[in-house]
Amino acid sequence: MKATIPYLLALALFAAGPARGDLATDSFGSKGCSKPGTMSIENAEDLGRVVKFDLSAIPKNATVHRAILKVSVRRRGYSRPVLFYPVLRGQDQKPVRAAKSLPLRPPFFNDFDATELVRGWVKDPALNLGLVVASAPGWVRTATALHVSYDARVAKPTPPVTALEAGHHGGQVFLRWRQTQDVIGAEKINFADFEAKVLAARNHRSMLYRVYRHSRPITAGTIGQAELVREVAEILPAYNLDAVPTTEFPGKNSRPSKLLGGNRRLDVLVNRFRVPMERQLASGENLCVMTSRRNGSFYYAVTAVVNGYEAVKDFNAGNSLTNPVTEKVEPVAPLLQGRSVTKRRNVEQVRETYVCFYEPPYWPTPLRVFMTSAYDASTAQKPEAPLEICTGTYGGQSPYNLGRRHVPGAYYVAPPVTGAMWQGMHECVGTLKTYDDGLVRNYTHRQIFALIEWASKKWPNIHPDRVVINGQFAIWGLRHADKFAMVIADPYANFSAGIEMQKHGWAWGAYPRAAKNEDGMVDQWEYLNVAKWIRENPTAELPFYVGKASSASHVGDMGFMPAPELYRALLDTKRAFAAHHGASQGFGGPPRAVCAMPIRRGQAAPAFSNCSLDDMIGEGDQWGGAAGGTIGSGDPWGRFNADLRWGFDDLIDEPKRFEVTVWLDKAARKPECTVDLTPRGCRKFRPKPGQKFTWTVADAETKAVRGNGTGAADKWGLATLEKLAVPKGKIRVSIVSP
Amino acid sequence: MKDFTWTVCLMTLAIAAPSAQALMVVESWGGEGHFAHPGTMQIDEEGRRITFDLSALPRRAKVRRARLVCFREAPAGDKDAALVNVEIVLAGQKKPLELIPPWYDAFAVPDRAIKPDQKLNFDVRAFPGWIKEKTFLEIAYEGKPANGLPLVKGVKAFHQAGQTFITWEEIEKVLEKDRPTWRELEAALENLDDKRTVRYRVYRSERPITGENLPQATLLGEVRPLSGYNVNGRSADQAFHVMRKRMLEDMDYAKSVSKSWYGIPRSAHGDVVIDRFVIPGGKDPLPNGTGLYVHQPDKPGAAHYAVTIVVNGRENTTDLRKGRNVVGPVRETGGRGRPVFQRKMDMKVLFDYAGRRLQYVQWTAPPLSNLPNQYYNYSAFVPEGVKTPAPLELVLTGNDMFRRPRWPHRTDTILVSPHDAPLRTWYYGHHQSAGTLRSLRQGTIQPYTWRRMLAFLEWTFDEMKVNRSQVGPTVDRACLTCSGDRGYSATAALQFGMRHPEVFSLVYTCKGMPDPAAIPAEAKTASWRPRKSKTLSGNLQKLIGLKEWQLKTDGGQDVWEFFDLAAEVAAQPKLLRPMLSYGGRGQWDWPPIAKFLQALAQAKQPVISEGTWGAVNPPGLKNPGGRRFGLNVRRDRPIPVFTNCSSDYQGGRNGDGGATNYGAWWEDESIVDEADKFEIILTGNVTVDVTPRRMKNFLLRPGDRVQYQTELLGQRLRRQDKPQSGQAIADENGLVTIPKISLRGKAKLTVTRSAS
Repeated sequence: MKATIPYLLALALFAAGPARGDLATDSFGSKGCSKPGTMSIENAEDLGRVVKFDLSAIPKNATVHRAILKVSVRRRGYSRPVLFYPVLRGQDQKPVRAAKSLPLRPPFFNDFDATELVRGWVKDPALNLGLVVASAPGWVRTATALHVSYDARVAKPTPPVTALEAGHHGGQVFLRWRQTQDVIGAEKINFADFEAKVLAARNHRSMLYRVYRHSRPITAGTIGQAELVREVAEILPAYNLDAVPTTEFPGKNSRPSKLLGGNRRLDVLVNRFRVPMERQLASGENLCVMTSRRNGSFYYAVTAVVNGYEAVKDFNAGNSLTNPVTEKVEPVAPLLQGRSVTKRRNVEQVRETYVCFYEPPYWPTPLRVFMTSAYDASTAQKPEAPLEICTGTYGGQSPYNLGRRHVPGAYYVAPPVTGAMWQGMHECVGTLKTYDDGLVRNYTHRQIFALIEWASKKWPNIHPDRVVINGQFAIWGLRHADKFAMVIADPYANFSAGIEMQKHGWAWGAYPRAAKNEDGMVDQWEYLNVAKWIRENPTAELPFYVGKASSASHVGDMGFMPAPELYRALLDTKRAFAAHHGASQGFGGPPRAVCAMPIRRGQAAPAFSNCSLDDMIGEGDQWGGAAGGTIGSGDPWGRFNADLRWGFDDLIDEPKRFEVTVWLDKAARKPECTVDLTPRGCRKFRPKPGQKFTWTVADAETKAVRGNGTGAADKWGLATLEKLAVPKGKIRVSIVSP
Repeated sequence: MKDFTWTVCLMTLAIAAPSAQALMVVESWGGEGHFAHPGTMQIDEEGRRITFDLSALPRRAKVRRARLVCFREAPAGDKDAALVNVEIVLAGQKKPLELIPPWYDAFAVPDRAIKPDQKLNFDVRAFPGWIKEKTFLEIAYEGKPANGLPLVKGVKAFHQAGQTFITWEEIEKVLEKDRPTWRELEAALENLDDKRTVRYRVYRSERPITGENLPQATLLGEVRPLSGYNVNGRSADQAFHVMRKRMLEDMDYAKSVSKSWYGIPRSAHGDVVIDRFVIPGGKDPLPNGTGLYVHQPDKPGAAHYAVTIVVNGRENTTDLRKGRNVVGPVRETGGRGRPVFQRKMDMKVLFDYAGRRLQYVQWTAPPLSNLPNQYYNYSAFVPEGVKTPAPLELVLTGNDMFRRPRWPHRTDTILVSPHDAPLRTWYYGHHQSAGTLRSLRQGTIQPYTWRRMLAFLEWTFDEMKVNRSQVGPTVDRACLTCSGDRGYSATAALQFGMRHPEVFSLVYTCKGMPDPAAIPAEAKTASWRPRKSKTLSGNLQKLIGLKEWQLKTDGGQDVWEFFDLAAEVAAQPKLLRPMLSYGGRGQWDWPPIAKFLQALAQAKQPVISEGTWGAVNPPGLKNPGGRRFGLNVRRDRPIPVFTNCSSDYQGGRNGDGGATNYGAWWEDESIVDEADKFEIILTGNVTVDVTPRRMKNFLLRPGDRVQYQTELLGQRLRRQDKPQSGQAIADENGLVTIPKISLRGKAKLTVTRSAS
């Protein structure tokens, strides 16, 4: 019964009709708006540039519900603010600048809320003295407009949308509606025709859809109080245009696209997104996906805006929901778009494609991400399956990234590299805020964590301790031993020392400076110096690290300098890792030791250092050297700890005892090596600094003792056996503290 | 030798027959500046006439010698001005003044031309690059030297292996700091003459030197203060070291460096610490404020040395006393010196190869350099636990990084890297005129650097020790490699290595030029925006002049023709060259390389090459990730020369690259070299002609017949793979070529002498 009350109430509200008149929204500006020629700019003495809007078209005493100043700027970075101050009349009637600039509208902060100001102007036009343009770097004047929504008697409403439907899935609201015009007019269409039709439609009018949200049913009477939550472009949001392939050069079947930019394939079919609703989108239907920020029930309505003018007379079930959407805040989930099963390597492999719709807290502004997953069909039956998040390489698209890895019985999810090399992004990016307004937020990391949660629900046999991240720029994962068992990444552990990384400095602050990262409030460049963090936090346990050189990612372009910094830090602080280094040729994947991803989060492992079979990585410089573009002061290619193996199943981690079986891989270039061995990541075996221990090394099969001795834990409480001789036959290493 | 601005003449004054017991006054006449008689020189506006007012010269002065000292900015070696002889004549005379050997930096002025109370005029006929205001006239005459000039103290001499190291206490410490940076030292050197000019002169005589007999002593040379610093030893890898360290600590600095593609900032070069020399007889560097001159006497014997000081153009020739500024007798032997160990270098910031990096300085005089008292730096890397006698690899670097050469170090090989500085000689040499007032028309181009490197290598063979307990030789003379990475040093390694088969067994080069003359001086090179730019050959012109000048080597050959390795190889087919491993991407400049590879094949020389797109390494170079540890080729072992390999090709996907004998190799330990039988196991998956060379026992005369057969030892044989056999005849050089041997993984080739 309770559920029917809102519904009845809604019906009653509809039946009552507009209580406070209709809603009109006019846009005032110089051109491209409903009231062109109503914006002027003058230079006022003492105030500087003042922009004025002639709002005489708004009836006097009209109730103003909303006024939004839309401003377009082309800034280089986000150092200089965009500030518009109201002009007020001073005590001596002289115009003065208000103390506060117009506030930006959350959550996207890309326009200004001028509601209160415009209300005053409409009430008393003499107060309309304009806005001081105090700071607007790269201001595009012609794209500036003031959008005012007010009560009005609408004689000719803008055409209404129809068939509005809503759904909620994975922490997100999905709205669909039939547009006022089906500009595509075909269920199947290739990109060339699609583009032609959209551009043709745009040529004779501009079209936009507004999405409103309210805790009550939205009617002409309540729309004034509703929240304008999104403005949606015509038709494009319904189509998966990210899937239209790009080509490096124009060709027979590709050309530069006016609609999407870049060279695009013309002959491919463009598909609409699959939505988590009973019925899939049809031609002429548009889509809006929003991330829930509050738990609760909300009503939505959609209106059309034609050439900057919005006039709403009637709301009905076709453009305003009669039932609220019950929303729940939860990690956003990717949306399945396609699934195929193919036979590969003699097993059936499932490949799925997804789209993710991100916005805060996953990205500062709305962002759509296309990604794929893959797994053997039999994986679902495997217990304790591992999950690998493949973030791929620089510029690599998701299917490409995925194609590189396959471990039977593992799940793979491959989001593409997004934003500033998968690192954090300042929250001002894409908004009208500045670097001073906020922090660098780890949006992409949050995306990954949400993906892990989603994947664990979708595939319940994923073991939470067997989650691995693999990507060229996934080194940040080393800070998250609570999430990852293993991090497979290129050793870009100090972005300050990377060449290509400098190009992304703008995303973190006013380069070469940066804002603070939300994680620990440290300078972002410092945050991106994982090598330093490792050095300075020797007791922190890390995921097992696998160093690699990504293929097809122009490793040399990134610069090798961070690599030896990382490996030195790992060796000096006795962390467990194995690595390849050098140029990418032939070394796309991790060393064989960890290919099957046997390592588990929180499981102890022997950290190897100073292995006599290690090659020499050098200092990371690229001068001269044998292999052009690779490390000059070291071996062109090489490895760390790559031939060392240990047993996972018979490893003993007890308060006073650590035991592990180690051996050298058959393919090792020498029959034996020497290496320092330090138990790491132990849950129980934790000697105190300086605590004495005894060690024994025995043949694993015959139990014959090969050596023994004593030692003392170092200042970090790490017990290290130095110069341990490891043969190709298995040996059992035992460390006992009294 | 800019840093020292030598202004010295070698002059034996015995011919002048001075009056007995007379002291000598040495004074300078010049323009504005620190001269004994400033303001006494005028140069006309056109720079055609120099006039000296000699009124300050005592009326009855007996002039013993006079010289006109001049300075210039030497024209670049590829500019026409470099061909122009400097010509200065006494006014009214026709014959140009002569430059004084061995320094050739001043003109001898006839004594008779010096007349007190008169003006002395010189006409300048040609003088490209002349720095007029620094010119001065120095006159030595009998008289009483002025009082109050400082004296040099603490003169010492130590002789080793044909070189005498003369040291002294300088009259003041120019730098208080014990270990100055290059920035500090460079500033000190630049400002040395600001307040006054100070120079030290080194004299040598077979008799004990006194003030009275000083005119009979030989003036060896003159050095500026701070001569105890190894200024030429500074290198880019030191600056890199500074930069790399700072990058770790200073993230803003790291960003700025990374933004410019890791270019070493100027500041890092300035922060490099300049060491003072370590000389024989001491383990520590020379104390701060110590001057150094190294003399290489022509013959063994005993000698005395004196060091005088010249302040503001006035030399203190008085008070010469043994134990203060005179030393001797010094027992001197013949020889050309021995490299002097300087220090163990720590070139590691984060990672370095396990072993010791040792720095050496080699002091030289003609014929190892064109001037006396020169020095050159070397580094030697001795791997940890290396077994002696060890192979040696000479690594030439084109990037001024000799201390830690950017080249994969083998852990079983001693690596030596010479520093090609201060003059970039392409590790070859230069014209005799370098650093003097001579032109490229006066003298020849001589392989000074080659001579120095050979001398250094000789020392490593004969005397170098890397362990205290070491008994035998350090270096395995049969196993020497000459390597250069790309361009400059690759060409250097190719030219040096291939011309010294008596030294090297293997040469690695990445795109070295076998015939620089075949490459135009300018070309449109491949890049994002192709534009005409100077080629390597164009850069070589700066060293050896334009092709059309036809400058000569010391052997009288046109130097550009001299560098044509293809012609060299073709001219001496009997001479077995080192095995060549040639890498490098084929581009527009590939044809001369192809021609060279063809010449090697025709002369049956051992070579392996890969020159396709993306291939920049010489084949077989150490690549531990790829499980390769370098090629092992010995000069004392027979070698199979491969030709006509089935994997050979010319003309690649992205240029005119190619491959030669790529994939064919042999197992050295399998070689049987007997009088009637030669046997070897060959590896690879190719078909190839095989010419055994460098046999000690299986020697053939032209026309000798042999029989051969193969045994297939490969794992994956096909039905059609059959053993081969046949007969072959030795060619006019006594070389027999076994044609088209199919290796199929592994094959044993047996060649026996035919009974007939």
